[in-house]
Amino acid sequence: MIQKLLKGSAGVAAVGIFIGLVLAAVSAGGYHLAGTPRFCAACHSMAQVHAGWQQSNHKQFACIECHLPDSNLVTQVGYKAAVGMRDLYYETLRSYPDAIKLTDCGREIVNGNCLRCHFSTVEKTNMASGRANCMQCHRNLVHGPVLTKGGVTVE
Amino acid sequence: MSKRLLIITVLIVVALAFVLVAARVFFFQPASVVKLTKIPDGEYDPAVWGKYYPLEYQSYLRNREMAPSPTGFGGSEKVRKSVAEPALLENFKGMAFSKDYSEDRGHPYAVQDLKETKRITPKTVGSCMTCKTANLIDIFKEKGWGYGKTPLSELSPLLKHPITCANCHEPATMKLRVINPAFIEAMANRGIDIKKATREEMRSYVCGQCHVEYYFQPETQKVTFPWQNGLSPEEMYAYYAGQPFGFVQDWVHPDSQAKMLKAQHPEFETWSGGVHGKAGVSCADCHMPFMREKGQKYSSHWLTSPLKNIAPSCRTCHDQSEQWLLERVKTTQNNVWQLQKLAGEWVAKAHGVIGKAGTVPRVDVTELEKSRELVRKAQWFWDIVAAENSMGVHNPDQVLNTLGRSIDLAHQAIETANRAAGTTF
Repeated sequence: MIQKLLKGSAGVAAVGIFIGLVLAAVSAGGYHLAGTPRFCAACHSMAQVHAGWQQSNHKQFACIECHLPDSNLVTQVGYKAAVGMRDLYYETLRSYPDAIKLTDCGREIVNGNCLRCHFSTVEKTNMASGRANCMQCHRNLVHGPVLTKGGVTVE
Repeated sequence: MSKRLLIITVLIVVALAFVLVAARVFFFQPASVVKLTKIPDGEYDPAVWGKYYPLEYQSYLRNREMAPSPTGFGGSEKVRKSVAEPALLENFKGMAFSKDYSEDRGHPYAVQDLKETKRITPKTVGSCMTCKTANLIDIFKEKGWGYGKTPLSELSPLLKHPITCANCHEPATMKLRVINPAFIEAMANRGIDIKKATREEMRSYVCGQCHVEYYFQPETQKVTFPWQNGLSPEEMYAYYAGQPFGFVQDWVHPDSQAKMLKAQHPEFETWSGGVHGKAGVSCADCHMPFMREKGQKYSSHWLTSPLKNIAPSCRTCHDQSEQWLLERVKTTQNNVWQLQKLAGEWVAKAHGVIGKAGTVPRVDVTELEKSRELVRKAQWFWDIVAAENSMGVHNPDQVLNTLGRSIDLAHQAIETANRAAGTTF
């Protein structure tokens, strides 16, 4: 049956296109799913930052809107794959740090995304002349210093 | 055939790895709550509690570690304080702290160190064990405040455990509690009902029940906190000036003949007026940070310098690097240390000058008495900082102010004594 189908190059092409479409659909679906806050918050280590974000005035934006580079799709996918693997590694071993903070690279990405929306606010100020570091002052804007889901509960 | 087998094996391994990772990450997450196990009332052995709360207990055991502090000030090694600050020997002349005064070790050593210190004599009263042991609970239940006057030697055999879990936790619920009756009374006198305290407040009160300034009422030897006017060094000094319950002095300095006060570790008072205290950051927030062991969150019970664990202790709020934060603390401590040493030296000098002025015939006794009052206050302002365990970090601006005033008061004492005797010592 299969051999029959594969007869002739048209058949090969058809099957190839079909598999390609399925793969593309799965990838796109997976990529979309992996971009939802629910997916990010599925990790235990993200519970606290997720809880803080839910109470912030940026809660209408998904995690990736601030945490993925403001760049082309290829860079974004590459970055997401790299940090995703890293996070998965620490999450599986449960060896993530006690206080989770942005890396220097992560900080620059978030800062870029602040400016993606808010550049017009600072463009005519001194901040635009240097490299604006939004989070030096607005560091508690989204995740906050308050341990919204802090504490240890004994039940 | 073998090629197919290989492919299948690889596929199975990949699938298993995927399932394993997915299971660990998404389905079998670490517990977010600690399972409650009721501990019987009167169980003070931390090892018994530790069977059910192993993470907390493991970290509690680290209180046994004896090490210098990361900043070089404080630490949990038994180092004589007079090595770094020789003025201590002058300023505490004629009283027990000149015999033995070393850095304090961790809670597990509290009873041992109480029994071993050279400050203890056969006349030492029972009050001294108030903050050293969980057995206080039963002793107070049985004797009430009467335990204060009971000789320490009589209570000693009852002190089976040092400061342990029961000092701060209800055994049935693990809720925070305070057991020191002196703290409960002092807070009530300030109009604060401990029973209504929030959890965040309790996270400081459990420490504050002991890490405070106190004195013994002369008649009953009852432990009392000088908090009626407020918690600042000035307000506590004013309280003592009123000679509460007939309490005049801890001892008389043999050189200056001044009626002296000995300050005791006022961490709670110092913190409460500082920027962290005022902002509602509790003792436990920095000294008992949330840690993780295999993803399981727990509160560290290793009560030590937050700088041994900067990430969970400081960086939860402060975004700067660990090195930056350490340097900030070191800067504050170095500034405080310089003034503390200076203040201690000037106070020591004042005792000497007043002593010498006192030997001058026809010295103006009223003026001389004024200089004694000035050196008493100067030493209080120095000691309330020197006896505090943070080298100023709990409240840098207040501490530097206090030390500045101590130095000024010591100079005033010297001037006044010289004026009284017509000398230029």
